[in-house]
Amino acid sequence: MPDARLTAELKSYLENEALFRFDDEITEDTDLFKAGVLDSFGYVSLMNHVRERHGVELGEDLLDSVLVSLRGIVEFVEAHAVHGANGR
Amino acid sequence: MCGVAGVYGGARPSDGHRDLIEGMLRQIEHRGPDEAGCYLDDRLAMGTVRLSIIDQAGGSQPVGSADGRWWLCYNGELYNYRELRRELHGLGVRFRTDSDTEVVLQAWLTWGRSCLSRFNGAFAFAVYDSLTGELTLARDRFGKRPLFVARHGGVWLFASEMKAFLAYPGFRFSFDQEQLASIFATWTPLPDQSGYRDVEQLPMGEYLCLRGDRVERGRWTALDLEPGPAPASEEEAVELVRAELAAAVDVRLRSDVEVGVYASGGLDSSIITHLAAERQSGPLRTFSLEFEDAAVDESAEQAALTEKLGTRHHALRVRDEDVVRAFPAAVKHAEVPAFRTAFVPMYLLAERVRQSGIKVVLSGEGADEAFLGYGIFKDALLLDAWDDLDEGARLDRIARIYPYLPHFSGEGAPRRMLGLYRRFTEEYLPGLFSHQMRFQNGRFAVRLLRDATAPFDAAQRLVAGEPGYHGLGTVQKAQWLEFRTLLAGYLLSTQGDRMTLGHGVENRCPFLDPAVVRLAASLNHRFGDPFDEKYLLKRAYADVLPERVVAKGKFPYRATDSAAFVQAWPDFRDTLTDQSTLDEIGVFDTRFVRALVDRVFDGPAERIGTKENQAFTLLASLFWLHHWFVRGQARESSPLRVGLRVVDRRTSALPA
Repeated sequence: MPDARLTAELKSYLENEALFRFDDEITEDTDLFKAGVLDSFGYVSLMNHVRERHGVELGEDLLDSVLVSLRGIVEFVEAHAVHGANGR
Repeated sequence: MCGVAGVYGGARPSDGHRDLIEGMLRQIEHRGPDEAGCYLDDRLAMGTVRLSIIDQAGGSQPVGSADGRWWLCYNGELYNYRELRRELHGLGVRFRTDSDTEVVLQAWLTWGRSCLSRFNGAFAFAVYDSLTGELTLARDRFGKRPLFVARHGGVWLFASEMKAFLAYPGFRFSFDQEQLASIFATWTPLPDQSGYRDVEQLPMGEYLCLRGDRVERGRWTALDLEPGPAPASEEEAVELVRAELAAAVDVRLRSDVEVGVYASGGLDSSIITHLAAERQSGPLRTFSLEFEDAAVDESAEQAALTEKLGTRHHALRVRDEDVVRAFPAAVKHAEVPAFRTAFVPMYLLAERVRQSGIKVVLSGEGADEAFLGYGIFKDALLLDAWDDLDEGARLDRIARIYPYLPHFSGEGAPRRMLGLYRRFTEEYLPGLFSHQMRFQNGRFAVRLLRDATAPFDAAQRLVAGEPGYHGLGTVQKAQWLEFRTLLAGYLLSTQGDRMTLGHGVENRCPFLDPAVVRLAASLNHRFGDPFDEKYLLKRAYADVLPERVVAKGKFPYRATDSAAFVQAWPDFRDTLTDQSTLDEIGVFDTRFVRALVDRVFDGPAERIGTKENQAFTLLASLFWLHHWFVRGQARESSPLRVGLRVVDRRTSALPA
């Protein structure tokens, strides 16, 4: 079960960054690249944000193995977060 | 240089032809303020506004054949006109003038359509056979000179700039949603696109032939990027580069008026400045832009160059508020949506050039496409070889692609980009592999539009229909796309021809000489390190240019974008979010428009990146295009400022 606080934080970050709202069209499972939400600049900003805020380096693994969706990012951060680093 | 316009076919009475063509030519008079002339008969009205450069006294248009059967309205320069004239003379052709325009007509009469492949030049023209009623429109190989065609109620309209159509009774512009989506996603109109319904561009290297109701389209040349045989050594390659570029500059200095050079301080225009300066007896006049923002200003390189070469230099300092103030007028000339504001300073620079009494300028345009100067070609190399590289090699190459972008340089940056690149190692937009990342970024701006579901379809159709495209290597495909999108759709048009000719200045591009492009195709990536862009150009001219110009590396010319509007024109926010205007324009997703405008005007500034700037500039330009074209405010209703020379072959004009 994904962490609700982490999901809410990343959701709010992405919505603010890319000027959209998650809804019926863009859901937590939508590929954010294909939807035009994430581009190369947005991706770099997202990596910086996740590193600074959650202490996790979004590297090659994330984009290599999973869909870049909100759920995918949350699961990756959860799996890689050092205990106690969340919400630093 | 000139502008042409015309009306063909349909069931119009010809008695209004003179006023009609005068009205159309008036809209494009800035392209040729020196003279105007037209040909009229019962089927056709066509005319030219002329910027007199070669044979100023004898080159008036339209030009007719001695027997009065053939007529030509011509916009362009034929750089090899002397050689062709000699050849035609040897075949028995007699000339009445010294102009290149007459050479074009006589070449057409002698060789027919196949004359086009002999032409080294920038041109778009209409040639008419009054006996058969056949009208042919043709355009140069790289899309240097524009030619738009519209259908309106059974009539064919054509013109160098679309604004001429505003003078045709009942003609109305309306945005084409599908084309706008493609333009927003891929940055520029594709070769046949205009952004408006029922208006097309005649693509570069093509012709359109009309005879009554018969329509024939064809291509007279393709973009050939296949490498020829490689020179035996690097030294030989360097000598070939020097020789071809010198020849390309030589023919482009042919002019009966003084020729200046745009000297940006970058490598390409510095090479052209050097070659022009050493061919000129008096001091060469050079022109450049200076910016307040040190991040985009190259005045130190310009000073080093112009001092070393001893040119008479004119620098125009452009402030953010100057860009904002000139934006509406520059968009009126651009005629199509723009994704960055860098064309606006070029509009101001052309004004300065004209005020200095110069009508012709050389520029370095085309070097990055011919000699693979852009980072996107390194992207293509990297992505193509991805599976054969280990992680260390991938990281090393990423770090060398865009050293001037902050998120590519700095500690750990290449590693963070690794995942992003991996995402683009598979081709998911068929035929567009090298450009997937750029086009992906374009999706953000597409969100400005409602009902924009398939923004890449037109680009995919373009490459799918191109013979031989799929056999090209990855880098050549990227090169082909650059020639057909950014170069023709923005650099040569919005930032090039439309801005210079907006002030009656003709731009010439030695790097786009067909022989130079052909040579470059045979040299690229055969010498030096492919990640050291334009290696051979640097080698060929390092000894004659200031060291800092050669050492600086790729430095893309950009101007300030949305921040300038926020500072200099805060009220623009209200204009851009005015609901009734948004409704009238009709193509926007108004919710996203408001969110973007709020972001740009409220900040924070660090949240405004390239994608926000691009989307904002596209939005702002579309507002003005709506004003000028859809509402028709660009229309000039005053008469031509110069007299109109008329060749009247209408039945009504014949003696009874």
